[in-house]
Amino acid sequence: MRGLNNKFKLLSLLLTLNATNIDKAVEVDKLLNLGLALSELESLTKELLKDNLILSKDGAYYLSPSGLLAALSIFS
Amino acid sequence: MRIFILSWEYPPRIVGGISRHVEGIAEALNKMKNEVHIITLDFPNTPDFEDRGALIHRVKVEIPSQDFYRWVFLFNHFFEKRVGYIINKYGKPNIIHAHDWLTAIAGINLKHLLRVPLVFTFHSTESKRAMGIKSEESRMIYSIEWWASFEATRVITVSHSMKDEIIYLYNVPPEKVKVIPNGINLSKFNFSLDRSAVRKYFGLSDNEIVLLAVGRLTWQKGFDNLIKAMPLILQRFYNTKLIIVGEGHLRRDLKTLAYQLGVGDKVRFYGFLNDDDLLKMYKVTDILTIPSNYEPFGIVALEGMASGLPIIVSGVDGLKEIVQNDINGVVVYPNDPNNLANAIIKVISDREYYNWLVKNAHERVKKFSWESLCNELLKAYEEAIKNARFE
Repeated sequence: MRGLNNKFKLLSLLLTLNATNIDKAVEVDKLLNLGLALSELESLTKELLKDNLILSKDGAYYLSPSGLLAALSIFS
Repeated sequence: MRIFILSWEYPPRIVGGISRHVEGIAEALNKMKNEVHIITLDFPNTPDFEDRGALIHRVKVEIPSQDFYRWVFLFNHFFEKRVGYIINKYGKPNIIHAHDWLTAIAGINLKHLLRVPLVFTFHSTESKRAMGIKSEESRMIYSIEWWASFEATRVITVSHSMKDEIIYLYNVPPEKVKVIPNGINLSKFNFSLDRSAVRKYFGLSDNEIVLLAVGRLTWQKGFDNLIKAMPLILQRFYNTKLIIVGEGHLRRDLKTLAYQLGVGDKVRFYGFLNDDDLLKMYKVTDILTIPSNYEPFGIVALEGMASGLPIIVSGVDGLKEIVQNDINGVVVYPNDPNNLANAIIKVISDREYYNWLVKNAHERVKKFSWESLCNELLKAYEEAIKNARFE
């Protein structure tokens, strides 16, 4: 997909899963379709949380407004 | 006239130029006594419906997908569903105006279902965005772009270079294509501020020379060339700082490049800024640079000109149509960091030249008012109504 790194593949997946607010946060198991190992996915989510591109609640993740715009920028 | 505009982005959902373009035409068309409906996607903390003069209908995509392209088709269906509700309440539109391939499917379907003419605006093409048609996805998008150009009674591009590109790529009859550039609302830029305080707010000091670049962190924007120009600029002016505003998938690569070149502490990435902060940032910056490899228009150039900045741009596509070299800006070769560095050094060094560029740019930007551009757009709508075909 347009030579994206894993970080942006994950943002893109959260976008298309409509995980754009806390009510639509998705569990890690739905993100495993990216084909990453769980440990890899965990370190990726840590990085994205640090950059404020995603937010989490009770182990589920959703895009922050900045993360949503970052995800959209891939395709615009 | 009742106009339905389909766009996947609308403020505060601001990704690229589409959002500002659609906002500009919506506000201007509304002032000109048209009933304008924007059908767009939702954004956190914004209402489903908003009356800003233009009526904004924000659509939620109610079904998730693992795949972006399927998701695009889904949101187009939800656009169509929302249009059904809007028609029930307000009546059928006179025109449907879709922006870029992302909303083309809904635009084409609605044209045939409602028997209302379609106008389609290209803001860029897949061929240039993806640097060629090299994947299945790109082939599909390319085909949708062709289809939209075929179905639309009038095709709009934001620059003459893009008009040529569309005619070449999709074999569109030239008389069907109209150039309506992006515009700008100058009143937004007419404010004063405490420069020192705002610089402090952004973590900048008064004695720094601030270069600004704004845009998505993608190949198109050419920010790597700007970073490569920094060592040369710093040799002459060590107190220079480069601020990059925007987000994108090349962020990490660009940061790494800056550190590899030894200028990591002189290049700062600010991510997305909201409108208010971006306007302030323009005001406290010294020079705006647009080193793009591809820029169908370059709305940022207008924003820089309106903010009283000298602008230095790559001589590509739409930018060449906005900026006249040595008159209201500086045009450099694309993908040439040395040329870019020398232009920046010249503008920093020569205050008289700096002021000349700013003064002329301020005059130039007045030609891009949304109101005058929308007169042309209304003509395109009228032509589309007159020449509509539904077979």
